[in-house]
Amino acid sequence: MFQNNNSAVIKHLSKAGLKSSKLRNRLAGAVIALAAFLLALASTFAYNAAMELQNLTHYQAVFENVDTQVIEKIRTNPDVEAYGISRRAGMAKNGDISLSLLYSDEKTMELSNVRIKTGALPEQVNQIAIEKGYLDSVNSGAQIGDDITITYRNSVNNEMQTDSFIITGFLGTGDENGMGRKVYNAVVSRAFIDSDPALSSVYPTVVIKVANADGYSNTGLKAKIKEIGQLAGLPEKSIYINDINVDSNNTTSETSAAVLAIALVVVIAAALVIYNIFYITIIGKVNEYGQLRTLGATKRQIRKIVMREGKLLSLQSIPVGILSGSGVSYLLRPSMWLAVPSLILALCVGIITFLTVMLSLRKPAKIAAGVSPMEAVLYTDFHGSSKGKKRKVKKLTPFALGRIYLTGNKKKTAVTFLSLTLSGILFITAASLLSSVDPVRRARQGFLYGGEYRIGLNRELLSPSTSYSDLQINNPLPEELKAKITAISGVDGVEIHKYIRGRLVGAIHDDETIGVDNIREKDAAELKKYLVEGNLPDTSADQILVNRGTITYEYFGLHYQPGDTITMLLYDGDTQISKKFTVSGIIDNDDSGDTLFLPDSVMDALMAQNCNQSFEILSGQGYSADVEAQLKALIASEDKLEFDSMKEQTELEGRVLHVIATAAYTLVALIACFGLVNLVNTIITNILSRKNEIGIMQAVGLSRKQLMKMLYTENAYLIFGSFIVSVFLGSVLGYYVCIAAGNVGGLSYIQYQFPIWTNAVYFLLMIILQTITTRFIGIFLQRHSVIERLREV
Amino acid sequence: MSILKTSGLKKYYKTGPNLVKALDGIDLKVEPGEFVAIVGTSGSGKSTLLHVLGGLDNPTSGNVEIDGKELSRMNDDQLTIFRRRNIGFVFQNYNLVPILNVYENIVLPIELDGEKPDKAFLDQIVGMLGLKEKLDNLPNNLSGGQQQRVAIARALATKPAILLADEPTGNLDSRTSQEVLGLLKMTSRQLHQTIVMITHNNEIAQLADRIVRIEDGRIVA
Repeated sequence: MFQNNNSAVIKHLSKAGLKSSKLRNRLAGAVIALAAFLLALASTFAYNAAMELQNLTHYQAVFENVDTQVIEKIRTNPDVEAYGISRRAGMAKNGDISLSLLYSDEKTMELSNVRIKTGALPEQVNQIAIEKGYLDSVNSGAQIGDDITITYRNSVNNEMQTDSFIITGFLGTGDENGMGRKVYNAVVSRAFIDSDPALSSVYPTVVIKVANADGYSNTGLKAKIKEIGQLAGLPEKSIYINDINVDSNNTTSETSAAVLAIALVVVIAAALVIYNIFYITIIGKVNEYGQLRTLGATKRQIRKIVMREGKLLSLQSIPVGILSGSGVSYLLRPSMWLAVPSLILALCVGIITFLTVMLSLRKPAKIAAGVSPMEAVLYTDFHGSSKGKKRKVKKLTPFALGRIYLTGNKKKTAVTFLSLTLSGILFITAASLLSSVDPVRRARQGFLYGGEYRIGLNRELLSPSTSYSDLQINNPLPEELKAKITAISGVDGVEIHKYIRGRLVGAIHDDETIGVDNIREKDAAELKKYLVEGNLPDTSADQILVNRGTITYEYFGLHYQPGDTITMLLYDGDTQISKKFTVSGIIDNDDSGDTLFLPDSVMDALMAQNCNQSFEILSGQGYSADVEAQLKALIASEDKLEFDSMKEQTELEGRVLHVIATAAYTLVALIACFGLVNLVNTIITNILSRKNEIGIMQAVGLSRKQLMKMLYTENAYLIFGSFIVSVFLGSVLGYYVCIAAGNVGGLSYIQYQFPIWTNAVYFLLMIILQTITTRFIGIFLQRHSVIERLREV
Repeated sequence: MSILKTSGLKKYYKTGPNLVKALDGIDLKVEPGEFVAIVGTSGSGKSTLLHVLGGLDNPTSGNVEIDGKELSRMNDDQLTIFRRRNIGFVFQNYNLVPILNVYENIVLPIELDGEKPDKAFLDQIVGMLGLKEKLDNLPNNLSGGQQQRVAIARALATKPAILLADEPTGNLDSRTSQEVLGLLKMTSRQLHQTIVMITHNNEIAQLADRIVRIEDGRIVA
């Protein structure tokens, strides 16, 4: 066996190799660090965001109307890890801002992510703990120990009441930093509940944390919750599931897919650049490797030397990347940072980046190992047409020379071109999609009848234990309100959205509720466009219209045909009624989220309660601040109603789009850095590896201007070539992505728009890039005289 | 009238604390059609002299005049253009452009000047140097002697006022060396081409019309 211990010499040689090519190392190091940075940022941010969603609350179920016996059964159930008791006291409204008053024990507070930030929990009848944000938003400077007077609607008897409280503490909640909050919380004492005859007359609410919840599938967890409730003897209507917590129980596949896609792009982009950088340096060092081979280095040793250079670089660069990536991810949302899992993720990112480096080095290392001692003497950077050994004569202008060089080393050119194009395509595709999202169209989805304003049941109040049917009790949207709205000058009319919550008996998810929406008489023409079978429902019979284009239709596993009978349990306030309908027809409209439709008059006739959901207010004059003020004044004291306008919604959509666009462009820009590093590396090595040739050409008469023209041409082909290819492929891809996205139900607001401005900016960037690189070359070339270049052999 | 004239040519370098006098007052005249060999040992300053004569390097002081034009009065671009029109170079390591084929290498200086090659003249030198069959080849596929012949053809193609050859046979075996020197001698005769050749080899220098010896940056004989 000729096994020598030669690791010392290999270590020494690879270290020396690193020292000798400082520029390459800086570039490669930057690329490795950037890749690690992007991967760490994307993965830890996505993970922590998903976790934040899950940790918004820690309970999976809410049981309402729970008496002491039931509480005892819950307490002894081994499947219940923790439970907390709370009671709703009332709701105060101050313009747009609402304050929910409730009593809650410490366990409920813990499970709902509510805690006392400063001060103490209330104990006396007249004490309260409140969110500071509420006081700020109603311009109250009240501090702990101060008095505060609150007018609120009693949750049990629905009477308006006014009470004075002493503030004992400030609350912190899971979404205290959330933007545009409209509902805040306040906690009153048990003594307060007991002292109120109405509030003390009803049983409390219990929140449940299921033991080992992570071990269940989402559906399994829901079944377990039902079981716990039934074992405790609760009727099904008192059992509510906390969907946000349960559905994020197992991190959603969409998030993982998005992170994987980003990771894949980053890994490919980084691998291309690392490969190219090492490939180019190794070609430049063929002579050295040849010498080493002559001196007796084996192929294996040469390969080891190259791989070790990569390892050393990775060890230096990866920690920088993952630390800064995790750091930025932390800074983006410090409040939701989970240190240990993030650290583990960062570690995985380090390993993935390392493997990427090693994989992309395999080929260059093989090339280096394959150098024979003889080859070292003959090798030149150019080996494009060495097979044919002859090439047709070309006219030798500087431009032609530039082209000859580009085609001379096809591989190097192709890799640089590819990595520039890759980021370009990403950029244009992202731009196409982003510019195709129309905030007005998106906002219009909430104003289907062409209205300017909307007054509706307050969606902020919806919770696991409060649904639309609860809000419809003593419906705050009566005819009188409609009449008052119509009387406002500037209002042309009011369209009513009606809604009934119900359950489909016998469907797959028959324990979950589904909504029934109204059909106005004038909707008939529009609905007929989507009719695929049967007819629109007849108002005189119990007929229902079904939309098979929705996700809900699939989720409930529905397969209806005209003539089929549907049995529904409809919620009428807090009572339920069973009703049979005949399917009159099927429509297919994937833009509407609504699955079941009944005519207006049928809905009114069925329900004892008023089933209005919202008033959409039409105004031919467009938005008017005056009309908005009058509408807001009408509902100022009604906590169960919210106001919304097309203008506000459009602005909101615009802001959301802006945030998404900023994030997307930042990501693309970072990925584009890979392409840039590749370009810089190619340009520099184009000069470095050809110092001698450039010297020869200058000696035989290539002027500085001509030399610049030649190098300029090479760069221009790369930069503008990749621009043209990127714009073309990116636009085609962007077009199809938009078409595909627009066809997804509910996303019809995505209408393909050619991103003309983004393309213009991209073009401008390329011109700047070309100018900078050319200047850079000029400066670089001044550093050496012709004779110095000629000596470089 | 001399085709090449230098007066008081000096080239000093500073390497660390030492001042190196590579050229220390060179006065040299070369007549049209003359074949001059400059001989010296390694480090005598002969390569520096050639570089300064060819305008590749600037002298510390003194003048170089070629065909009546003083090189020191030209800026970088003027010098480049003057060089490609009036001076032909032949280097020890051939210095061909590897991505260009033989023909392209030969016509490179002419085409860089935006001129059309003189076809008849090209045919003459390509024939003289025995390169007719090799015009499409890339330099990598040629032997050393062939590569040097391409370099000579390139140097002659612009009909330069003067051809500067730096150890043109330094990388060649003795038989090929003789052949290349013979070709140089022949072009000097047939084309009345002025040639200044640098060598450390006295035997090779014997082929020239005149030998100039250089030691420590000065002409000694």
